[in-house]
Amino acid sequence: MRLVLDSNEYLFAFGFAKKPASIVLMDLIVTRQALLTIRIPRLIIEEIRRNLPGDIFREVIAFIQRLTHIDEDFLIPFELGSKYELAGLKSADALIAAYAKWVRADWPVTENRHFLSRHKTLPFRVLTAEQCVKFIRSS
Amino acid sequence: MRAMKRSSTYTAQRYLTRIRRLVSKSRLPSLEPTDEQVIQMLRKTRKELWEAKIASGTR
Repeated sequence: MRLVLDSNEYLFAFGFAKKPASIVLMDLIVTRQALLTIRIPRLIIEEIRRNLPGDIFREVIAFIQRLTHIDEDFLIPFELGSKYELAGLKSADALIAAYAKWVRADWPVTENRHFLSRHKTLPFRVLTAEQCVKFIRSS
Repeated sequence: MRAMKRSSTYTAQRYLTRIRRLVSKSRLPSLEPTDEQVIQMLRKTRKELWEAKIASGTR
């Protein structure tokens, strides 16, 4: 199962506002390593870095590096991003959608409503952490 | 291979525990942002990073 996690999942798991499903998702990423492949673009790391205190970010990046494949943003095909921008996504959200398509993710996981509301125009289903946790547990 | 996986799970679990300890130490419940505030904050960050990437020609 290949997942692309949005920065909000990390913030809800490790930041000062907590979402129980995002916390459980991080636990499952650790305990179900054999089942899950996590990939994220560099942009997600930069977003997390900007929104967490330095000492917490240092631990979070060490955690991410253990279990996640990080790709540079410039590797994502530009045309794919434009395609999703034309489909109504904001530019940077379109980059994440293009990335998910490019790495053939089963599901991008996010709490971003704008992203979730556009999922009908995307070639993959977008899940919230809560939905994702249910899928993982039933696999 | 199985031993490597076990050790990687153990290390990742250790990081998780450390992160949670750090967060609970520096947490101020009265200043806790709402879910919507977190989403808005990240939206703003994403916009700024994106504009910087466009301006620098890295995207």
